[in-house]
Amino acid sequence: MKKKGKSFTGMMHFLSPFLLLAVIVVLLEIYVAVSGIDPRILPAPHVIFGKLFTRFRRDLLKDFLYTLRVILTGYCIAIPGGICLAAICSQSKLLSKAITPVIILMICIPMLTVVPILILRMGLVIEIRIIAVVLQALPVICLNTLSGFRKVESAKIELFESLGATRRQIFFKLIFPNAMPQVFTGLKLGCIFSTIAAMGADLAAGNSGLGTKISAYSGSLMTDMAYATIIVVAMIGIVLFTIVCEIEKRVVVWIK
Amino acid sequence: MENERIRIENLNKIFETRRQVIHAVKDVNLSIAEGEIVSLIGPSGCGKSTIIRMIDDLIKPTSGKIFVDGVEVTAYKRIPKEINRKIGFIFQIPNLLPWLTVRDNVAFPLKIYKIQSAELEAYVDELMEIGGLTEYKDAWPSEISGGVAQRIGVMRALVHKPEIVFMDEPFGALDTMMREQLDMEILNICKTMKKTVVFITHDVEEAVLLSDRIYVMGTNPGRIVKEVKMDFEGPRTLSLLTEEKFRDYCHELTGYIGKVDLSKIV
Repeated sequence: MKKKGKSFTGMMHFLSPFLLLAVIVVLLEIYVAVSGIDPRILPAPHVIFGKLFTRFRRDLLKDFLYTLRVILTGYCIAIPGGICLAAICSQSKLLSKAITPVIILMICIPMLTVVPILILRMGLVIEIRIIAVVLQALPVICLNTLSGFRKVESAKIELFESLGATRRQIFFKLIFPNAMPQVFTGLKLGCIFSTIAAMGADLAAGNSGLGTKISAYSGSLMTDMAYATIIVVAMIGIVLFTIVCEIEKRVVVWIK
Repeated sequence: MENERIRIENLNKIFETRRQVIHAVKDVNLSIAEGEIVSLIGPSGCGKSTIIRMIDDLIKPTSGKIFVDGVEVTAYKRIPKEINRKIGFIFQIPNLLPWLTVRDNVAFPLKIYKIQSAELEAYVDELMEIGGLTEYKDAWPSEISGGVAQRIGVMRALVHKPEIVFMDEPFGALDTMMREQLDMEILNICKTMKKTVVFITHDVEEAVLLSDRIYVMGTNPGRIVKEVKMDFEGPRTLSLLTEEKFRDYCHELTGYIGKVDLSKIV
């Protein structure tokens, strides 16, 4: 009996996000139908999903792959970059104090403003979008990792010193595993920031990518296609986030 | 002294903070022989923890010499590896690593020392058995109780077969009953393994129960006030607690520490 109850709760936990989304979709559907709002302002969800299924391959696939490549490449550079930068900064209190405001500044800069400057310098190449993603995701990963690296109890350091551990051993066997939960917080935020940055870069650079599609569709009042594209973008973010969560569950096994 | 393991000569430690200068340890001389169990007792702030931390090179002395097995460790920038390996340190808190299972926590000093072998792995299991930890071996530290956690801390300190063991109020955070029981367990372990033990406590009864010899320390500046030898016949058991001789020692020692009620300070 108890086991049955448990599996039901587990099922609910798994299904709850889908149910909530379904509720939102149904409410929107009702609102659109009742209010009679102009479909160029808010198309009914079933229209958006319909467009998504019928036109994804023809109109969106190429840009989807392009944007996915930008996000994944940038994110994969930002992960080791952010963690290494945090590792270097954690070696000195002065350095980590000095770098924190710079990192926050970097996170706050909208990519929309940086990309045009990069285009002037480098031309319209895919690399500028990847740079934009790295510039946005790396500082978030670095900041979280750094706060994890600095959260070591002095008693644990004393334990390692009493064993005559080297600085290297203290870092890899104590500071790094100790920071794992924070590292993953950084990675989760990082994949969302990567997606946002790729959109910003697309909007500024134009010519290809899902962000460009969104602005083109909404500019020509094809609102349903614009929303369909936004759904694709959101799916990239959600899937990446879920993958990172699953990896976290397998790595940080000691916290339940 | 014969088979002297630790000798300290004119040891001083002065902590300077922005507001004050604290003479934490002043002109301490002591000597500890092989297989001895020696306690340092005194109220908080008498420098007892600072002394063992200086021997283990966790804190640098301001002046004075420390010899371990005839080697002057204070002459080195860092304590020599072979000396460090002879020492096991049991902390006031268990200090377990949450990302390692109970068994890996016990075994991890071997990784730091890079001395893994099949024989030592068997020794880990033996220690787990002695400490009553075998049933918890795959558990995470977050899943066990305080008493078990502290036993893991003890076994971890013994895993590289140190000949000298420092204990810094190892069971201070536990209740009296559990503490006395663990005290006896650890005493038996150290006696049978013929370890030299330096025990830090503020509890007079605990010190008398365990030690061969006791150094009484005073505060401000932290210094040794008196050295007392415990002379009991037969093996140490908890039944000692009710003996008259035991009570006499406790009275004597409390007298040296001063007319202060220790429980009110600590």
